[in-house]
Amino acid sequence: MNRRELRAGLFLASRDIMRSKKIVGLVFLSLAFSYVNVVFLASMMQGMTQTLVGVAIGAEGHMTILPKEDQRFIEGVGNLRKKLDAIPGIEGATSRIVAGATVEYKGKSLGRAVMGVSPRREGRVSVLPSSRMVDGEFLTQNDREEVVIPLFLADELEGKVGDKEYIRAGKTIKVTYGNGVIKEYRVKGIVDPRSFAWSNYVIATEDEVEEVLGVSDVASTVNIRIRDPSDLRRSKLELTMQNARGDIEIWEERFQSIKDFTTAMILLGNLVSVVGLIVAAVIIAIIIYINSEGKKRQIGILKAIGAKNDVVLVMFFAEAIIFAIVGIALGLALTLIGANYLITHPIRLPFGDLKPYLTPRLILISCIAFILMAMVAGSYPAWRAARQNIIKAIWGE
Amino acid sequence: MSSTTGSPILETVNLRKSYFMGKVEVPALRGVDIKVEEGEFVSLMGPSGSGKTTLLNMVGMLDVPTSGTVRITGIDTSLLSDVEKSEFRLEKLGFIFQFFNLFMELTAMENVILPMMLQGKGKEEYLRKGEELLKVVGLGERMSHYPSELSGGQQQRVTIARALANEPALLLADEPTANLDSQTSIEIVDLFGRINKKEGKTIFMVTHEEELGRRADRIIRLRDGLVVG
Ligand SMILES: Nc1ncnc2c1ncn2[C@@H]1O[C@H](COP(=O)(O)OP(=O)(O)OP(=O)(O)O)[C@@H](O)[C@H]1O
Ligand SMILES: [Mg+2]
Repeated sequence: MNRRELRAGLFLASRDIMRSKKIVGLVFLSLAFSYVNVVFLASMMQGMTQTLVGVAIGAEGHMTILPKEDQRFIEGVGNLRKKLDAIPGIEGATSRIVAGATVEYKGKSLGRAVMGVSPRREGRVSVLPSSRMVDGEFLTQNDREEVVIPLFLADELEGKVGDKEYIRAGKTIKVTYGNGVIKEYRVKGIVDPRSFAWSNYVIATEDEVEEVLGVSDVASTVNIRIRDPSDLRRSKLELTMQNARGDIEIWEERFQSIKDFTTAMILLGNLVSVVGLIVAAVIIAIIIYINSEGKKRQIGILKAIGAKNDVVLVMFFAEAIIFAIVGIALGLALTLIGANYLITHPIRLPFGDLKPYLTPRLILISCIAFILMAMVAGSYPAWRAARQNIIKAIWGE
Repeated sequence: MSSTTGSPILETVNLRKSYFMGKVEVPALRGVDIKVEEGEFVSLMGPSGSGKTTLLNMVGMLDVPTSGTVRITGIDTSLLSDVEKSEFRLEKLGFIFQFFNLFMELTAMENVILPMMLQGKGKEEYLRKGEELLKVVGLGERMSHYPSELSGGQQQRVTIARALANEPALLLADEPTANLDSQTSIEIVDLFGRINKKEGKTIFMVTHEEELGRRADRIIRLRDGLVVG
């Protein structure tokens, strides 16, 4: 193909598109929506994944050290924490101690557990201490005889229907530990961590729970947040080599179901993207086909006056590409407007906000896919238009 | 394959063309021998169905004969590949059809410059030439009009300008006035005459109107696929 064929084909394509504004406008619009289809759900699924991953990491940190299989607790936690704090890649580490218990309020009794945390250290790993307090305040390091109740558990514990005695700060709950110790705790606050991770726990201080259980310097888990979570498996390996006191799990292993769910969501998003691409391809193929059918006589004349097939080919192929490019531009604008709105007004779910997550990578891939799609979709009708017999074309057969 | 001076610009030898409707053979040209010399204005006449369009299509290399030879500027057209035929049409021939000649999305000017664009001419050159040609056909004031904004006669004038744009050796016109009223038809054919006289263009024009045909230098008459005079 020569430069002159390219130039003539592009000239004809651009004039054709500029002169049929109404139809072309509609095509642009439908392709814009196809493009939105390709990227929007995918970005929502990415957003959902981000939220769920955020919930998982917000609850447990990136990594969790668990007691060795045959042991109830991790021993020597004080030293372990010091060692962890000294590792430069670690942002923070905190220990938690969990004890099974029955929780009673206003005659309602639930089999749950008490989680002892260190309010000071917890904040460097999880979102718990910084979560919104529905009522009252969060624990401080030296609190005793006081607990904080997560919102989900508070909902469950609320008195019977008609009973106005909702649980709130200042009320008292009765906790019967597995070892028989019975405690009356003052509720210091109701916290909404927007995660199901704490819904089975009454939160107390670590010292409180250790005292009840008669243990010290032990933990049920040690939770770690690291600075650069890009290669968690490597970080895990490094940590495993330095620590022999427990088994280490990264969040993906600990929240396998979240990992599976998000993988499925992303797959679904991709599937919808592919369907969107196919729809766009069909639109483009049909439009180019109809347009070339309507221009049969002109194509005949064009070839009669000496245009090679390539000119016709370039003309319709270029139209397909122009459709795709304008479709992307409009679609991207719509997507960004929509995404921006949803980012400022996210869909609120109990466990977090659902909002789109548009990465440059997603946008780039979708644009490339859209253009490739247009090339494939446009090439057959363009080729078909180009190879028409001149006489038949002129007579519109 | 260069043109030999003295040989006619257009020559057909025992040219035959049959169409096949299923297995039935429809002979449209049954051994046509014509000659057109450089600078001639020849009209091709004959009743409907006599094979005029068929002959013009063979001459214009838009269709291939069943047998026989078409020579233009001395070149045997059957020896050319499809791409060479396009190139030949682009460089040597100008076409004017009965209707659907123009691109509706292009202005008069853009229609006229299209062949020059296809030839790879520079912008300055084709704009100057386009303007000049539109003035020749009397449309200097209508250059940026779209075909839908022009009368039938004006549209054919644009087509003539376009057919001249590539400076063809031979201008082929198939009933260029069939859709026009008689006054406009005469004007168009007179325009052909002027172009023939002034620029020395060879013109081969199909018509079935005696009054128009007589305005040419010479008439070739077809009947049932044969030349009758
Ligand atoms: N594509 C075709 N298939 C079959 N027969 C055809 C075809 N084109 C032309 N013919 C036949 O060939 C003969 C010559 O047709 P042609 O179109 O050349 O006549 P014409 O002289 O141009 O007539 P008109 O004055 O009506 O335009 C006619 O009998 C016509 O029916
Ligand atoms: Mg005819």
